[in-house]
Amino acid sequence: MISAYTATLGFSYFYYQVGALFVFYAGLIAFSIFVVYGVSSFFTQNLLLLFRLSITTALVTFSTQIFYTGGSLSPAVAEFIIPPLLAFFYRPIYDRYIFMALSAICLLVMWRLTSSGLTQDLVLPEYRIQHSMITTLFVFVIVSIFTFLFRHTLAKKNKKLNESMTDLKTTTQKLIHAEKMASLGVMSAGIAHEINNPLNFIKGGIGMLSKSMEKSKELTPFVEAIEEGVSRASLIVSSLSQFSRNTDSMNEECDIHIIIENCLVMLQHKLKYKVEVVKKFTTSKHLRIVGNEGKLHQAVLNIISNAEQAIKNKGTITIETKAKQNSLRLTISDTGEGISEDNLSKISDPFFTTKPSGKGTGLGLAISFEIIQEHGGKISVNSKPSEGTRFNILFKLSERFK
Amino acid sequence: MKKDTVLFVDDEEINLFLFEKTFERDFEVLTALSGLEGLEKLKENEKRIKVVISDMRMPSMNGLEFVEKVKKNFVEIECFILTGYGHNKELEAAVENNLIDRLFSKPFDYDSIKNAIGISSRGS
Repeated sequence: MISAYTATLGFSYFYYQVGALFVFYAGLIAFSIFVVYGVSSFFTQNLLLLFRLSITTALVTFSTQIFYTGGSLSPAVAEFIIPPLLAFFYRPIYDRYIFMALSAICLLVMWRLTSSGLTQDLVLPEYRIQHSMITTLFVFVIVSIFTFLFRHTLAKKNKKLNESMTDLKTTTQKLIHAEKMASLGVMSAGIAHEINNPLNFIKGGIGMLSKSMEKSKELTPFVEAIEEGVSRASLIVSSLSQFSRNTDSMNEECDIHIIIENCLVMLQHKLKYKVEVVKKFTTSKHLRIVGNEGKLHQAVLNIISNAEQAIKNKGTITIETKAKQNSLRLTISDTGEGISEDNLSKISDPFFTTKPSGKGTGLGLAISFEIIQEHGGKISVNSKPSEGTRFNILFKLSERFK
Repeated sequence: MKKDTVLFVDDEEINLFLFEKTFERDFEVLTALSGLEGLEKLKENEKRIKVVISDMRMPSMNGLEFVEKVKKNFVEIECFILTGYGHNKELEAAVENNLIDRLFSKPFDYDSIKNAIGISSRGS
């Protein structure tokens, strides 16, 4: 179709020669229209518009041709057959079917008009075959080139579209995940709060019971079992509350080294004979992170606690801090059992744990990750099974204290 | 030695029972199921009650509202709040403004509360 007027222009010479100026001018106008729209639509990539315009002008031009070059070897025949056939490749534009239908109609009309003797045949007999063959070839070449260009552009568009689709899918998944986490948070807060009360009934009750049962040695283990159960449940409830709590001040100035030392004190009884703690703190002074001190304690505590638990017999935990311009890098590494590749991506998922049931909530690292992200920090984990694990945390330093 | 009297307010009967039993050897414990009942008991026992301890989450009148009323009508009485919420801006502000004298979290620690009440009664 696009080639139509190219051919028309090329062979307008004939029409000009035979004085069919009307056809010549029609072809010239059609060609100019094509140049303007064709070029602009290649820039705007509006292929549909290009297609439709080319069909319209082609049909108009063809129609004028019918009356001047009717006859069995009219180049219009080629022009009405080849482009529509090649239009088949112009997926996914559905207009191509319309074009094919219209071309068929035009061919029919032309045949009828010719057989009724209503058309003129302006091409000189000696040029007739040449004229038709060259036209056909020309049409075929040009249309093929444009078809190729069209499909190339379309392929590029498709690729972009696919990429956008993939991005959309990923983003949607992330959004769903975030929503799930949010609902989990809301639900956790509710559950934690509701469970707290009955838990305290049990605690209070067993507290008094155990006092009066001091004399009875037989019943002591049962009391202890209840107390252990209550203690673990309370731990889960408080972890849950912490995880879902969002109302605390984020404006406290926190010293990461003090936080680390506090956490080591809290874990002292676990670390004492089992783990050697190596501290490599930066000598830079007055490094402060703005945020929530309690939460940062919790984040660090959970990670160090995890490191300690990964060490089965004896091992080392190395805690390193480095200050660089606006950020503070905190590295906590252990020589423990490491994390498998499969599990590595799951460690920050709530309730994911490799500990036997009853031994861990699976919330510790989830809380740590959440807290660090809340503070605008970044956290990543490297691990090799049987060798150890390393947590890399990056915090933004407070502007006021530099 | 005569024991100090404390008033404990909570909307759960079991909590009232447990608190009373826990501290009955150390103090004389009066209990109330609501802020309203608490204020009534305070009116009847004004001279005796040294410390008021209240739960936060109660229907109709919450702990903070109750304590506000107590502070307004009974100046000498110390007010503690027991909360399961943990940190809360409203509560922290109330502590800072001396509306609440002490803040405890649930479940309560026997020693902390015993000491706090001991200090309060010595102070008055």
